Amino acid sequence: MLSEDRYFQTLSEEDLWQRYCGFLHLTLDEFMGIQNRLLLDEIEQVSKSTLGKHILGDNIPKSVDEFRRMVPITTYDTYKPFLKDQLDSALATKPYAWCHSAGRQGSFKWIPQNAEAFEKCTRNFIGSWILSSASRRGEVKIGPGIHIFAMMPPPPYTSGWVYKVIRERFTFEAIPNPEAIKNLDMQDRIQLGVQVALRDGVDIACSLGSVLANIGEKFESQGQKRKLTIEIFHPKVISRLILGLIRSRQAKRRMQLKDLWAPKGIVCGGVDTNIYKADIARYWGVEPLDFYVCTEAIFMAMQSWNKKAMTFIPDSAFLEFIPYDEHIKNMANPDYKPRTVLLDGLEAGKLYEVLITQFYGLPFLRYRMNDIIKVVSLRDEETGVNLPQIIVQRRVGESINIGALTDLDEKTIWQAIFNTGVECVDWTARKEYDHNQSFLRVYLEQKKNRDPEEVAKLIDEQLRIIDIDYKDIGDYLKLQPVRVTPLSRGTFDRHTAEKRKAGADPAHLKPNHINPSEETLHLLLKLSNDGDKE
Amino acid sequence: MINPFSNPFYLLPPLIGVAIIIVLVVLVLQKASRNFATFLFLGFLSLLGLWCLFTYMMRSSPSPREALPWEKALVIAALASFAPYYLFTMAYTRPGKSRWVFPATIIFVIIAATVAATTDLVIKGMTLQPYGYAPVTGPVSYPYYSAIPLLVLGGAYNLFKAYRTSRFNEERNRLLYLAIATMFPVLGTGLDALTDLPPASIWSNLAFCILCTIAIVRYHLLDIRILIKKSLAYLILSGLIAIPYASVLYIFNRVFEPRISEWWGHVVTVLILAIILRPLYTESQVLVDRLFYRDRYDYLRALERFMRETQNITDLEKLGGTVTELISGAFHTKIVHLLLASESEEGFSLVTSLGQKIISSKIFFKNDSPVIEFLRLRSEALTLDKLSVDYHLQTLTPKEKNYIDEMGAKLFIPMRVRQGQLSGILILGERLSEQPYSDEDMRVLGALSGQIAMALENARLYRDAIRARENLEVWLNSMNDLVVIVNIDNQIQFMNRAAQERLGVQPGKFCWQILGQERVCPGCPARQYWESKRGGLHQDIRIDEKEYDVVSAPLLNPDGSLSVIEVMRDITEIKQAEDKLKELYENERSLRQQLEAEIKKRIEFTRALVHELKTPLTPLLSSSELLVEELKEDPWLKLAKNIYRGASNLNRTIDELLDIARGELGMLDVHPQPTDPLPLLKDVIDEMSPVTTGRGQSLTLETPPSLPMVEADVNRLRQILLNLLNNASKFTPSDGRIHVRAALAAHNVVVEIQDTGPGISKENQERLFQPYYRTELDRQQYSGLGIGLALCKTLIELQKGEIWVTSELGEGTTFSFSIPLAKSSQKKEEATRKTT
Repeated sequence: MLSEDRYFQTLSEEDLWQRYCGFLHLTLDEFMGIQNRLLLDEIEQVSKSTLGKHILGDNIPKSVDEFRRMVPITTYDTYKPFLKDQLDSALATKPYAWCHSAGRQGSFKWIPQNAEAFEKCTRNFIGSWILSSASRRGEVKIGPGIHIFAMMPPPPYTSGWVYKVIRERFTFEAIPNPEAIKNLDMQDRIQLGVQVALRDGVDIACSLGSVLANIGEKFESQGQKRKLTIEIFHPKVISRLILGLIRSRQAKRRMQLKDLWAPKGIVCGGVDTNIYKADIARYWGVEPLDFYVCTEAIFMAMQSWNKKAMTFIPDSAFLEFIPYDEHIKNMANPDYKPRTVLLDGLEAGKLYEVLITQFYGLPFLRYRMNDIIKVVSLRDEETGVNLPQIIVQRRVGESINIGALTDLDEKTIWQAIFNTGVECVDWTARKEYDHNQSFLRVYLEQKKNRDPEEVAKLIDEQLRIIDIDYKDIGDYLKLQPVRVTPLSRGTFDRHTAEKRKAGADPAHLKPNHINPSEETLHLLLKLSNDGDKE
Repeated sequence: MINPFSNPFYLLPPLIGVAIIIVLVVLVLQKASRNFATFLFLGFLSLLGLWCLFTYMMRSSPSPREALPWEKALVIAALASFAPYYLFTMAYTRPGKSRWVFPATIIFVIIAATVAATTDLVIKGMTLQPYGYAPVTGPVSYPYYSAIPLLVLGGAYNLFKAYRTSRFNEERNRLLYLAIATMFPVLGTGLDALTDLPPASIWSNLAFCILCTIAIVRYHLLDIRILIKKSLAYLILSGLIAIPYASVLYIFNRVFEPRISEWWGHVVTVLILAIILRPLYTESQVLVDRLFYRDRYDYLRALERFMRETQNITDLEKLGGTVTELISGAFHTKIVHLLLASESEEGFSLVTSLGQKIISSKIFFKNDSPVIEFLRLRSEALTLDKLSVDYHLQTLTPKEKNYIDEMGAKLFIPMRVRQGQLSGILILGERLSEQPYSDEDMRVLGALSGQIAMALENARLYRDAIRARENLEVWLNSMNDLVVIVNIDNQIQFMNRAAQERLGVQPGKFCWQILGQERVCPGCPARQYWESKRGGLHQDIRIDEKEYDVVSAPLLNPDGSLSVIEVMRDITEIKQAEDKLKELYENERSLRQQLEAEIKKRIEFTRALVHELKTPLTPLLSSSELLVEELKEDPWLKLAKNIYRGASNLNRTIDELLDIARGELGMLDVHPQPTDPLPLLKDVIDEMSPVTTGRGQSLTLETPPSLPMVEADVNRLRQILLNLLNNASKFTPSDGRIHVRAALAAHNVVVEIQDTGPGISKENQERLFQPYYRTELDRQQYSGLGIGLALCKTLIELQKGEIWVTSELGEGTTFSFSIPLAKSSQKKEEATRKTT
């Protein structure tokens, strides 16, 4: 019996909840106690390693305060000479796996993870599945043998390793089977996944919000035009389709995914979760649970069963936060040493940059995550969680400053485009200038062509609703700083094909939403022109 | 024949069964976790509910002919219900394994049901029996019926197999409940098949369902072994009561007339028997308890043995060894470790270990470890599996987890002393039987650990007391002072080593024997205490040519009586030294008086000098200055300038002489304040340039772009610089060079004045800063008093700086001096250095 299966076999629902979701019921003091104790252990372990000595030097901090005072803030460049060649000997513990980051930020990273970190990560993922399916405290609806619908890349990508490790510890049917989709592209993976799910059902779906919404939308739009394949004649598939048809007819609408399956939970990670929340709930019948994951500490935080703001997990990494004003000073002057606060020093409504120190002898110390979070509140009255509640705002540098009044990030722009109701395939945006006046340029591929000026006006209206600072631009400067450049149909698909042909990594097939490189933008415009000519 | 249809016990049970099963289904739906196994169990309950319903339909049929289809339906439902039960046990005990069994079982049930429904091979017809309808069985009825207990037994086999391999108490208990529950339908089917008793299946199946549902729905189940033991104990006790009662009743009825038939007769008999047989019942109870609670008796015996064996052991390590052996024997485990709070109070360290070679005195668990917090806050034992449940315990550090693995720990028992404080931890490894520790084991261990903790605490206190006594003896014996304790009878109770050696008396003698007396001394301090109870006494006494300073004080003995402690310090040498000191003091006083007279004279001389020289000099200076301003032509102007220069030089020399005098008398004052040295240096160089240029010498200044502020008296610093520069210029030839350099060094600014003069010999360098000292060359070629450098030294040292000279004959001279940085500059400098 697999290790996590054993817990489900032997523990009560209450104990299972305590094991997987118990972090939600810690007090702030308890949380800090765990953090401090694990940090001191980390210092003790790391100080003996080559990499640890490289950062700590000869003066080993003896307390948390000393650690924060003495150890400099680090970036991946600090570790690169040791990690890029995967030097096991430089580390304090033997890594279980070397994980590869997706490289969305432009550079790839090799990150070592050990068995202890993967054990915690497995627990946290199962915790997220439990929470995604729970409607109250203590409710555990999942167990071994569940069907997980997930689109995960293979190892050495971090998510691939994580998926592999969870499968080694917990019995579940992976839909689609990771071994079967190794050489397939994303569309084929999704297609295969849906086929298998039609037969076996889905208990938990786990993917990017946009992917799940897209699957739901495509399924609904296909309607009767769905292609008939040999797999459809499986008795289980037939019965599921018949039942789905009956349910959709009863509801007097086209068949949707929720008519076929009744997933217990949906788990999403990424800035787009909130944007597609309503769509996912509409197509899949369940509101998604958002989590905050990264390559370095894997699982940082997740929402509770009420699916509002997220709560940090105490034993994933030691958490420090740079207040936003300090972050700005540091961005302007890299020599400036920013002040940091701990979780018990966070203030509601403020933005912070996240610094982490890994636990369990892993190498990253006071490491810049390049993520900006927002503290929504210091506790969640609804669920009784007495820890700060956060949302991930954006990546550092992934924002567009307009008129020195507002920073528009991916989430905000995406939400604004989404709220306009303009059906778009994809988009990218950057700051441009017109006679020294800055404005937001959105390159947009629409499904149905609408006048760019009208779309720009709609986006502007939505931005005014979403972002108070942006509203000030209109009110004070009497400006409408959004311009839209339409891209011809299929531009983003052609970009993906072009990149794939050039042998690009899966993470770089799509252009960044915010501040794409000049090269990417040229390519997009060229491909758009090509599309126009066709 | 009795009409069974008029009997409510014939028709009612199936309906009761249906109602109970509906309740059970609702319970399972509400309480049990939703998984495949639960789904199968629900299937089993539902089909069994149908079976009850079909049974009712069959029993309520008006004729055997009409009862036949219902009998066939219920036979099918019986088989169909136990198939999901078997599959439930498969899914429950081996999830994801042997998947082929599921379709195979379902196919078998479908085939068997088809045969039973469509042919007469299983049921041929129905007959009416005294208890109701009975089936007329077909040729394959026995194989068909035997499939039901086979499925049940198959399920029981799965459960027993899982029970044997399970390491978790809760799981084992649950599996045992389920396994025992399977015995009911087997028993019911057996009774129905082999006897003519009324149908028992319905009741046995209901009992089976209820027990299974309880096992699935409830998490904390009562330990079934305790349940069985208690039930058997009560049965035997009931037997022991019933046998004599029945015998007495029998004899009574045989002997007496009328026979006891009234209820009160039975009551009286039972009461009499209860009184008479009370000792027997008590013994029986003990016998039964011994029989069924053997383990507990083992533990009690172990505890008795422990108390007996350890009452005289005061060695903590030895006691620890006994504890681990005791626990190992009583609880059948090879591995036992004993951790106690470390002396440094940082955490808990290993004292003794049995079964595992761990030779280490390191701290295994720090005080803030989740394991310690758990054991400190809760009064329960900590099992290994709890480490994966409690969120705090999940955050053990890898090091702590390694220790737990290394120790082979399975169970942690907190040991508390009287105040409830956690004093130690008993760690037990796996049992020899590889079975987990039961709740009862943990309860007994909890009780035992309290006793062990007390014994260990006593041993620790004893060890501490011994150590304290040893320390006290070592401290007293290492003292040079003599320590003597005397009791109320003037008998010496204690003497430290120094007292024994120097006084030549052993404890037990009388104190007056130390003083060479033959009886109690008159005015004995000890007597005074006991008589007047007053405080300590201080006196000097003489013993064998030695002077002792004796401090006596009352001392309370542990038994409440009083003694006197006397600390005697040999002050013979001190007394001698005091005399010597007195003599020296007298000499010093006389010398001081002489010196004061000398200083007074000097002051008077200086005052006279100032008065006699300065008074005439002032009009001379002012008049000559006025003349220089007024006269326009030579030779008068030249003469006036000569007078002014001469008067100025004289004035400066007098000032310097006065400063030297003030310095010697300690009356010279400087007023340091933060000063920027750079403008001052430039100013002094500008002032000196005309002089050096006039002498054909080059004067250069070398400084960094900026210098920190120094703590100096500006006027005195200028005086020092001018003095040194004048000095350099005086000894430098006309084409020579004078180079001034200033730089930062540690917490000072160092100024160097380098010249290309004739240089100074090593011998002269040593005396150069003495007042009025002049080198041979100086005396031969130049005028002056030789006080400039001495004054510079005094002024620099008053400003917390230093002055030194480096020189080689023929290679010029460098005078250097340092002036400390101002406080603000020092801090800044410190910060800059750290950053660098």
